[in-house]
Amino acid sequence: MISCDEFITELGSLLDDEVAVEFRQQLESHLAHCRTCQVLYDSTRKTLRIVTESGSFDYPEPIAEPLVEKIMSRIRGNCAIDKASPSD
Amino acid sequence: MSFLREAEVPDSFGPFVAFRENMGFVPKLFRAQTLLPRVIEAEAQIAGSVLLKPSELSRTQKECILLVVAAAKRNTYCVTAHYQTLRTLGLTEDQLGRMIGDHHAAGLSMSDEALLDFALKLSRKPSSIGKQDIDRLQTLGFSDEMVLEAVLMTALTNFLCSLSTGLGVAPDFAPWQFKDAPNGSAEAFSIKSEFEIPNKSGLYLRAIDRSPSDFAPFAFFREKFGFIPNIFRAQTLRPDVVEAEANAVGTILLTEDVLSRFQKECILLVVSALNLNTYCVAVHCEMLRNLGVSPEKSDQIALDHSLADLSETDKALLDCALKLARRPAEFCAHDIELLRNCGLTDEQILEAIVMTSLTNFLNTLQMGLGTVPDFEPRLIFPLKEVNLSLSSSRPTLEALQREQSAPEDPDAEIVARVQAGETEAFELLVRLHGRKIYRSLTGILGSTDEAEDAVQEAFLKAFTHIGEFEGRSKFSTWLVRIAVNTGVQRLRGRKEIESLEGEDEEFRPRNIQAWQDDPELSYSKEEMRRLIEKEIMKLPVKYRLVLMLRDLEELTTAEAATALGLGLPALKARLVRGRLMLRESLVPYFSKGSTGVTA
Repeated sequence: MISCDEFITELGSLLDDEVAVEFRQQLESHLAHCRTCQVLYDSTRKTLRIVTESGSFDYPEPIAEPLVEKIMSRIRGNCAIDKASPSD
Repeated sequence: MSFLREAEVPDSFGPFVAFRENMGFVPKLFRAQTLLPRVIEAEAQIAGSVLLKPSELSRTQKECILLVVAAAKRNTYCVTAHYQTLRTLGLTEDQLGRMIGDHHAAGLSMSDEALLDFALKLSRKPSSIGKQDIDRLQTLGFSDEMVLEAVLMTALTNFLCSLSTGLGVAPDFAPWQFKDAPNGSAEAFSIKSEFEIPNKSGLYLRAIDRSPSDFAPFAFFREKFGFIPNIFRAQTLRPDVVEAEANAVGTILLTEDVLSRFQKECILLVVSALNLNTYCVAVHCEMLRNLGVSPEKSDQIALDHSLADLSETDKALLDCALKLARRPAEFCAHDIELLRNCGLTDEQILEAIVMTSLTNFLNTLQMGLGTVPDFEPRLIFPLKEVNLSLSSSRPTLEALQREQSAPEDPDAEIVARVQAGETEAFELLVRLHGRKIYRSLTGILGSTDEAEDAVQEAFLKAFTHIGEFEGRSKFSTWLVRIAVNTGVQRLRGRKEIESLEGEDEEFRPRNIQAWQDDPELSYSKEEMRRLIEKEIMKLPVKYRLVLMLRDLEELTTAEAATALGLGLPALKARLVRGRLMLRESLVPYFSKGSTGVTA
């Protein structure tokens, strides 16, 4: 039988669907009998869903375009300096 | 007589009793290893499962594979031994003589000829094996179990040939005299196969899912390595063989009483690199990393150990292993003497020869089964065959890097344009990946303002070094790695680096309250975004970073591990901890009893 500690260790792989079928069945049978792990599994799964859909740390639009410009102008500047300097 | 000293073992020694029962005598090959009885036990268990145990292929078919593959290698010891066995199984001297010369002239059935063709191809040109070779056998009526046995028999033959050459064992019977040039049919066959492009997609054979909780070998691998290597998962049609292999790994590789684990991993690495085996190189680079060896050092050992930071004794050990694997015909007592002169004992030399042979076994197995690496490989060896028995030098670093390319990088074309001097094309890469880099850096630095600066710095570095990008990984993974390095340098400036590299803390979930069915409905999208950003920022940096790369960037587990320079087990451990910490911090907002905390 799988313990709660083992279940928690494997929780990430279970959520990412990275466990073998038979092992998954064992994890699920632990889940069917353990209320604590049921709550942990359900709430961690919902946490992932919320995080993925939250759009967190997305480029704020006002930053995006100027940032691309800044990067490209620095690169063009560097290239211009390279071209201006005498080659060896 | 052999190159090494022998020791007395009692008549009751288990493997010797079994040999006497099965074969009528104890082969000298095993007597020559009595300095390390544990090694003989492991080998006897593998030979017992693969060759002696009745199975889907007949004993005659398996012995013919051994004979023909050993003959192609001009291995007198194995040819002599198995010629005798086949005689006792009823084959005539004439049949056997023709089979050693050219098995197509031995009057075999079409399917037996195809079986031997397959074994020869796997032994001589392993990287040209593809799914189509397995399909061909299946069309002729061979089951998955039979093909697995053919792969195992070929691997076992490579093991025994390497062992008998390395130990310098004299044949048990009057030695077979090779009459002509090497097996003509095999030469013709190898020329034909130059023009075939192997189909390397995925696993070639059916396997059964087994779990560590009811299959002891898998529990063993999980305990020792932290994962179950795909090469063993692919052989579950024969659980007895996997058990014997697990025992061999435990007895030969993981012991520390003769050679160190580090020395044995190095042998595995250099011989696998010589065999151009990307899978085994990836796995054993990872193993070395777990032993505290940097990825750069293990790459250097794989590509040219003579330039690596190793002791002279270790270099001599690897020279010897490589010579045995590359030029067995030239291997002689002098090579053993060189090792003795370095102060190595006969026990250590014996273990080195066994490790080299075990590597040949595992490499052959992997090529025949088509298993994919357990980790993202840092070095990808080209499919193009190098004829190992003839090549006098190992592939150079430059040659390998030229040929290495990640197969499906969507950015490859744009990157090539920038590399060719089209600066403006770089803007496309900034637009495509800016979002990802911004997020990664926010995750490391914990501040959006500083992230903006760091994004510019990371892209400038990427542009400056784009000429050095060689397609070993996807461009996006390479770029994230640059961003991570940029962020880490800034943390170093703030003296926060310990928090990124230190030991993982214990974390146990404490607040076990059930959550609402649809927590998303409790807050507006904007409130939700602010809440999640605030709580992610509170996570310790090492967990925050892993969680952001995996769950916000949606990198695969292997890509995230590569970008952070972490092993897969370490990455997974941090990921589950990060997710649980974030969950814990969100309980007050989303549990069933929550009273609407302001986000």
